[in-house]
Amino acid sequence: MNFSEVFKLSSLLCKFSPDGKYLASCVQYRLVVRDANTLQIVQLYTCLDQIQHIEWSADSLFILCALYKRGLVQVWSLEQPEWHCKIDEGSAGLVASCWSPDGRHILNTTEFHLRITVWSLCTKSVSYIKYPKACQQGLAFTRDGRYLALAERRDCRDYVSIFVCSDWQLLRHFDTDTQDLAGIEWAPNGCVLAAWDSCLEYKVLLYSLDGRLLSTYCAYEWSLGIKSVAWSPSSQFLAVGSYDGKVRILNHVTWKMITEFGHPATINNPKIVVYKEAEKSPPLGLGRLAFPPPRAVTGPLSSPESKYEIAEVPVSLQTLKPAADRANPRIGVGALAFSPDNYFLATRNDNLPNAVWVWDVQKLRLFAVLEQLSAVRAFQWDPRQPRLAICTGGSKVYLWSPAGCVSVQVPGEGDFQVLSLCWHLSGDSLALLGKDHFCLCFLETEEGVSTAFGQRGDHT
Amino acid sequence: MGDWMTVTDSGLSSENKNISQYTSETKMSPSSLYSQQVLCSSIPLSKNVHSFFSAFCTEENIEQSISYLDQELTTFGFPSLYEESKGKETKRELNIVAVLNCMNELLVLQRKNLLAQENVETQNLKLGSDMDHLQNCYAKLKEQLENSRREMIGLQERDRQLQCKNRNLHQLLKNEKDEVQKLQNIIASRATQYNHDMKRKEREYNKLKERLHQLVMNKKDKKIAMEVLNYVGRADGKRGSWRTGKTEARNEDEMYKILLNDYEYRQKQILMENAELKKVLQQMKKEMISLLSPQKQKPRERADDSTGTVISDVEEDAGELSRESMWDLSCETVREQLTNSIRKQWRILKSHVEKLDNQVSKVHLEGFSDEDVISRQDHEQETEKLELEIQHCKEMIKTQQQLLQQLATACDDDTTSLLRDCYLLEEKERLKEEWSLFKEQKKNFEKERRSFTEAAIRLGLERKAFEEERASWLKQQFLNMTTFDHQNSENVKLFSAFSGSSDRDNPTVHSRPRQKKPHSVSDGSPVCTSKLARSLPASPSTSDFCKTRSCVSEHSSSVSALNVTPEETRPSQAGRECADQKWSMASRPGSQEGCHSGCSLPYTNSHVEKDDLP
Repeated sequence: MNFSEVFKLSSLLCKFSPDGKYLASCVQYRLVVRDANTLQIVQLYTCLDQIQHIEWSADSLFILCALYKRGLVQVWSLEQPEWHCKIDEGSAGLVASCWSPDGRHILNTTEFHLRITVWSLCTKSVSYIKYPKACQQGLAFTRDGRYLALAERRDCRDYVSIFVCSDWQLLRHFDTDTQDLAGIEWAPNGCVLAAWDSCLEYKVLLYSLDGRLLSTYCAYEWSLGIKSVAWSPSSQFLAVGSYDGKVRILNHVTWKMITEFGHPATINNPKIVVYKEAEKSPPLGLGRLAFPPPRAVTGPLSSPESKYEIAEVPVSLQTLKPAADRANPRIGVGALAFSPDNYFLATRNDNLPNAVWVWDVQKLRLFAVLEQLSAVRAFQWDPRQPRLAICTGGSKVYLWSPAGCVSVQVPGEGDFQVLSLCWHLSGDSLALLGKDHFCLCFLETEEGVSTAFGQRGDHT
Repeated sequence: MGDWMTVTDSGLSSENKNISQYTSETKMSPSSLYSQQVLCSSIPLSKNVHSFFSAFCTEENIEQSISYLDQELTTFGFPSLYEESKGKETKRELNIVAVLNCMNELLVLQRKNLLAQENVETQNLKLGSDMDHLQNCYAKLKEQLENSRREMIGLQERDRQLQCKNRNLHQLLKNEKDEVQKLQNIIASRATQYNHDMKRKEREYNKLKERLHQLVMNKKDKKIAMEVLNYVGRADGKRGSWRTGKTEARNEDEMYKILLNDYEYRQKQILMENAELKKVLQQMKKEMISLLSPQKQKPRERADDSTGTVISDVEEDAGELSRESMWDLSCETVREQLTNSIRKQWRILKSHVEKLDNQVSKVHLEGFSDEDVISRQDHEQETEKLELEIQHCKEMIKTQQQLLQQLATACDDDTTSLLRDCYLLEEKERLKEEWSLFKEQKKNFEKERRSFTEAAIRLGLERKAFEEERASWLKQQFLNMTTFDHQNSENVKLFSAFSGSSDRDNPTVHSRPRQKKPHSVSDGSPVCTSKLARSLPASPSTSDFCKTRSCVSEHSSSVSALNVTPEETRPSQAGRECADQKWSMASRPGSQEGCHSGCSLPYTNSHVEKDDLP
């Protein structure tokens, strides 16, 4: 495993281009585009103010930089560096901006969710969509980029509008039977739309592309409901994580629940491998015990190395006592992700913040549990193989695969805290994002992997 | 009590002296009472009584006293003290005898009275103690009663308290329920109010939004604009089209096309899955039929009343299998047929497996003892025989010894004895030799006997182990059938080739699997034999069998398989049987089985090798 040098970064804005050739990152008001392999700077663009959001167009030709404070969007072309485009939302303000899947339109949401403006880069035309709903996930494109589903609110009722992206024509408009729609998400095949209610009520509604209600699912009543939703890449399963600390998996034939994954604080099943991160205390050399201890401790020594140990069952995981009287309590399943091959599902229960649970979707049972030393910040699956990268806000990155589990110290001077990460398209490299810096982590190719995962065969 | 006694004693002694004491006395002995009564009745109470009482009888009043006594006595029923007088005038004479008799009677009476008194006193004493005891008891019981009464009161109090508490709790519960109800109502009302408020707020918000929208958007905000260097082409290279009714229809069409595609894809998948499942079912059915049919035909299974139906079912199914294309139709009836037949087969299989289970357990319970009994009988017979022989030998030895002694004692003469001594010595030597020979023989017999018993025991154990393994293997085989694995089906057939005695009558069936698998044939039989040897426990019988197998294969290969018939292999088999008769005697069933399999295998080999030849 190799690491690149450390580059500057602000606001965790660092993205690989969809074709995997480039890497865009922001430093204050500058946008830097590098070659993803050599990390040579390809282009450098300067915006008018601090960049708050960037997004690549689907064809990797344009980059959108949103400057919310100024209500501005600046678009840059990679092919023609001199080409530029500036969209000013004026006094209406700007809270969100995104590309349409064709890469030629930009959807800007104004302040107070007054409307969504659709700007075209091809023609001078501007379209408006009124009454967008201010919610967690109110805008969803199908994977093939043909349709846009938008949550709307008018007359105290929730609606969903489906637009055809090619000409922004309204295809379907229907009201949803929800108290307060919280989010919508297309199935990867683009034929089913899942809509769920706010956390006050457990309700999942499934709509066909033509607006028919396919099914409604409600697990329980009178308690906090859905916290996270994820489709499996095959569109076969819909995983719903809720505040009761359970993930329910719905199937695509009957839309009934197949199974329920609980997240207990103690694991008793001896079949489940529990990886526990343990600090490897460095050997205390006499020379290191200088008095008074030096002020500036050099980088790699500042945090002790860690390794994974296979814990003996029963294992009790570190739990967090949530404040029940506060809004948005830290309980329930807050993060879910299916592996790209559909075999695994990774989850995090927010009141067991140090643990990542990996479920075997084929056998519908728990496969492994990783307990970190600190709370899990983010995890993401390798787009090519069942390999999960995890970061906890420390100077380490963790990788899990069915063969085993490794903890890797990120080299570099100073304390590099990995707050977020994103995989390269090929799964060969991984961008590790810190508060002010980022670096790339290059993983070995297939032959090297087996040696890297030295624990292979330890537990199987 | 003691006081009382002394009082009476003193009374008795000073009776005559101090009567006033008695009159004042409240507690009086019966005797003193009596005397007082007498006195009272005889003399009227007056002032001069005291002086008169000082002496009952004085010189002057003898007559009077006597008459008085007489009177008194007669009234008490004693005979008169006077003699019977003839005339009235004549003075009546005192009859001494009568007096004495009276006295005596009085004395006797007195004694009796004393005795009675004593009795009464002791009884009184006893009663007194009884009384005491009863009083104690009474007191105790009273105390107990008091205690229990107190306890009862305590319990009653507690009960009351508890009831009170219960009532309180009930009240509390009711209150809580009311509270809950109230809270629920409040929540509900709050919720409605909240919703209402929310709606109102939202409406206001919407109004504001609308207003803001108007303000912001309609002011012709110059700032809202897009500066772009030049417009870029569309990603697909096409130009944007006008929105018309046509595009709308096209969009609809496309949407439905997408949906249709998805449904078609899903249907295809489902069809594929169905086909797979059907295939599996068919395979399962086929295998079940092939598995169940030969066994059902066994006479052993005659108890099963469904045999007839099964066979007919099998035939019917065989017919069905021929028109396999029918399965592709997802027709109701076909589906029903398939599921029904599978269900039937499954039931049969289940019952069969259960039966096998029972057999296994039976083998465990009975089989062991059964085999043991047979071998033991043989063993006992043998030992008897041996013992008889030993007896024989012993007797012979004894007679010889006797003869020897007779000879020795017969000739006393020294010279002759000396002369004969040499003969005797010679004879002795010979006898000794004979004796040792006998001894050796005996030892040999013993050894043989021991080895025989050992072998018998070992054989019994091995038989049991073999039976067990066979049963478990059988069961395992049946269970494995469900995995639909060709290997398994072949194994089953292989198994049936050497299993029961009932399979002996159709050897062609056994040879079939071997023919199916040519690679095992190419290098001859050893593959099969090793497989068999592995599957069987390493018992002497099997090892023997293996030996014979190898020799047979050698034999067959040397003959280059030119019609090697089972008859040809038989001599060697027979020779083996002759060579170790002991074995055949002890383990008849085993050896028979070995023989059978030994025979059947070369037979198949010959077949196979024939196939191999050009």
